Amino acid sequence: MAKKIVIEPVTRVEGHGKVTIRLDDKNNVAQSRLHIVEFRGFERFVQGRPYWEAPVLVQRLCGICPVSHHLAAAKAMDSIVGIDADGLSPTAEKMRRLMHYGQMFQSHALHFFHLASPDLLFGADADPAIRNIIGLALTNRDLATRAVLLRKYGQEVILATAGKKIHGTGAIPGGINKNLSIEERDALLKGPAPLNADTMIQWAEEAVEFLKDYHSKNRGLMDSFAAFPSNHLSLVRKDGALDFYHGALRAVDANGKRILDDVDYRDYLKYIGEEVRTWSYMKFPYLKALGKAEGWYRVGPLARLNVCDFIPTPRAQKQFEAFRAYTHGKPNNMSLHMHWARLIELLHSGEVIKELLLDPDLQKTELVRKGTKRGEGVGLLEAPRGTLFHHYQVDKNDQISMANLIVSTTNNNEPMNRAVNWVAMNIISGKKEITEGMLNRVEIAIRAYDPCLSCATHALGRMPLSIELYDAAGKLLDRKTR
Amino acid sequence: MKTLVIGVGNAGRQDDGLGPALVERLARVKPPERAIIQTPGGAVDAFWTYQLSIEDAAAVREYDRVVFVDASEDAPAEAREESEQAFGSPTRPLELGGIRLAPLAPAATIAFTTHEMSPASVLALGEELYGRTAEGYLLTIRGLQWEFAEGLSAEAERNLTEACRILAEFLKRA
Repeated sequence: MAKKIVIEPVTRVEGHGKVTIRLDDKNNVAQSRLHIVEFRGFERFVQGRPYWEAPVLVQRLCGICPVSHHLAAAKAMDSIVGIDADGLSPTAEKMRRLMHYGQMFQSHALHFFHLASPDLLFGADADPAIRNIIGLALTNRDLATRAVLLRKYGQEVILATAGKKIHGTGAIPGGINKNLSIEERDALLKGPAPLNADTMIQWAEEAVEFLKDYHSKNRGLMDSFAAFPSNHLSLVRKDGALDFYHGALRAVDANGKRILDDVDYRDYLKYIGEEVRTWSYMKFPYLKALGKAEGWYRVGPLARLNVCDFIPTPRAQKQFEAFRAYTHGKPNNMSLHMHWARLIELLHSGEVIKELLLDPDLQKTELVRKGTKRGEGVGLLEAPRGTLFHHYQVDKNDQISMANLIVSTTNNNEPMNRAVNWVAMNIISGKKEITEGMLNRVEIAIRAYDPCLSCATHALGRMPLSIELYDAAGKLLDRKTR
Repeated sequence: MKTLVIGVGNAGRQDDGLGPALVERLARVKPPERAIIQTPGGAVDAFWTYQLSIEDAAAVREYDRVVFVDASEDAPAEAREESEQAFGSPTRPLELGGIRLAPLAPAATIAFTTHEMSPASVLALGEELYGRTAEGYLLTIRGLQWEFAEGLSAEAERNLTEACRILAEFLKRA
C-alpha cells in the first residue's frame, strides 16, 4: 500500500511548515515536499500606513530577526526620502551597521548552539528530548553557558543602537535617531568579562575551531549529508568583500561561474522571478537568466562565503581561507557546511562590532539627511538566513500603496526542498520501517538552512510536531506527536 | 519574594498580544522592555518579549518567582475552580473562564526547528546552567483571533481585564 508520511511542525507560529513524504508500495520514496506557510498577509498589513512607520511595523514579522526587517525597510525608506545608500551620514550608516552586526552575532550564536550543536553532539538518532539546548546544558554546561552569553551580548549591541531589544526605533528614513554614547561604547567594548568585545571574539573563534574539530572527526556525515550542487546568491561589497549591510547582487553557479555580478539591487525585478506552485503557499524565487527549472539558488552563510572574494577582518579571513581551501576554491555545496560558514560569520560579526565600537564617528551628531522625495524604494541586506528584499511604493499622501517582501527563508525554499528530498531518497527510501532517527534527519536537513519559522504569532496550545501516515486513498494510518 | 512578570506575544497579531497588553495594563505604561508593577507587597519587575529565548534563562535566575503570561488557544473557556487556596498554590491551578494560572515546573519542551523556548524550558535551562531556578507560574489568557492586525478581540479584552485582576491579586498575596 502506498503511504504518505506527514511531518507537521506546528511551531506555534503562522509561518509553520510540514514535510510530506509519499512512499510507493515498496516503501520507495515517490515524492517529498516541504510546505511552509508564508506570511503574505503582512504586505497588506502595511498598505495604507505612513511610510515612516514601516521600519517599526515590519519588526512584527519576526521575533528572531526583527532588526533585519527594521533595517531593510529603513533602507527602502531612505530612497523614499531621497537618500541613496551612500548618502547617509557616516554616523547613521555606522550605527546601522553596528546594529545589524549585533543582530547577526546573536542570531548565529542562537542557531548554532540552540539548534545545531545538539544535533551534532548527540547525533541524529538521539531522543529529541535530549537533543536540545537543555540536553546540551546537562552534558556540556560551558558550551550552553556560552550560548546564552553570546546571544545576550548581541542583544546588548542591539539595545545600544536601536534603543530597544525589540521594536527598536533606531533607524529612521534618512538616518538614525541616536548615536552611541561613550558609556554605551565602553560597556560593550570593555565591560566585565565575559560580556566584552574581546571575549566574544575569542569565544566565536573557539566555536569555529570546535566545528572544525567536529568536522575532522565526522567528515563522512558533514561532507555528504544533504549535499547537492546549486547556484548561490548574496550581496557583496563593491570590491568583492563580504558585507551584511550593503552591496551589489552577485550570483555564482555550482562551479563558481558568475551568473550575476555588480547588479544594483534596486533593479532586482529584472533578475529575480518568483514561481508559484500550487502545492505550496511559499513562492520559489529563481534567477531569470537561468529560468525556473535551473535558476533556483541558495542564500545564507554558505552562499555568502561562496559568492564573496574575501572577508575584511583578519581572524575571519584566516578561517575563510581554510573554508575555501577545503573545496579548492570552488563553491561549497554541502548543506552541513552551512554551520561552518555560519560560525565564520559569527567571528566576523564580532570583529566588525569591535572595529565599529572603536570608531569615533559613532559619537558624532549628524544623524539624519533628507533629499527629494520619491515614490518608490527598495532595500536589501544580508539577514542571518540570507538575502532579504523589501520593496515599497508610496502614494502622494505618504501612505504605502505597495509592499513586496522576499524573505530569506523564501529564497531558500527550493534548496530546503532539495535537502529534504536528499534525506528521503538516501535514508528513507527502500526501508520497510520509518524510524524516529530517519525523521530526525529530515529535521537536521531543514535546520541547516535555519528557516525562520518563528515569524509571527506563537500562542500556546498547539503541538510542536506531528507525524501523520496516509495510505494512497488519503486515509490516515498513523499519527504521532512530539 | 522577588518576582518577575514576563508578557510574551506579538501585538501585531491581534490576540497574540495579550501578554504584552497585560504588562502594559498593570505597569500603566506603553509596552517597554522593562517595567515596574506596583503592588501592595512592593514593586514587581516586568518586561515583554515576542518570544522566549535562551538568554531569558539568565534573566529568571535573579528572581525567586517568575510569572509567564501568554495568549492561548486552549485556555479553558469555562470556569472550573476558584478558591482562596488556588491563589499562589504551588500545585493547584486556578481556572476561570478564559484564564488559567498554574504552577509551572521546569521541563525540556523543545519544539521542532524553532528558535523560541517554552516557559518550562526557560526554567529548565536556568536550573541546569545556574543550579537554581525561580518558582514558576504560567498565566494563560484565551485568545481567538490571530491575523496581522492590531488590537484585541472583544472576548480577549474581557479576558485581559479578568487576567489583570487575577494577577494583581496573586501578586498581592504572595
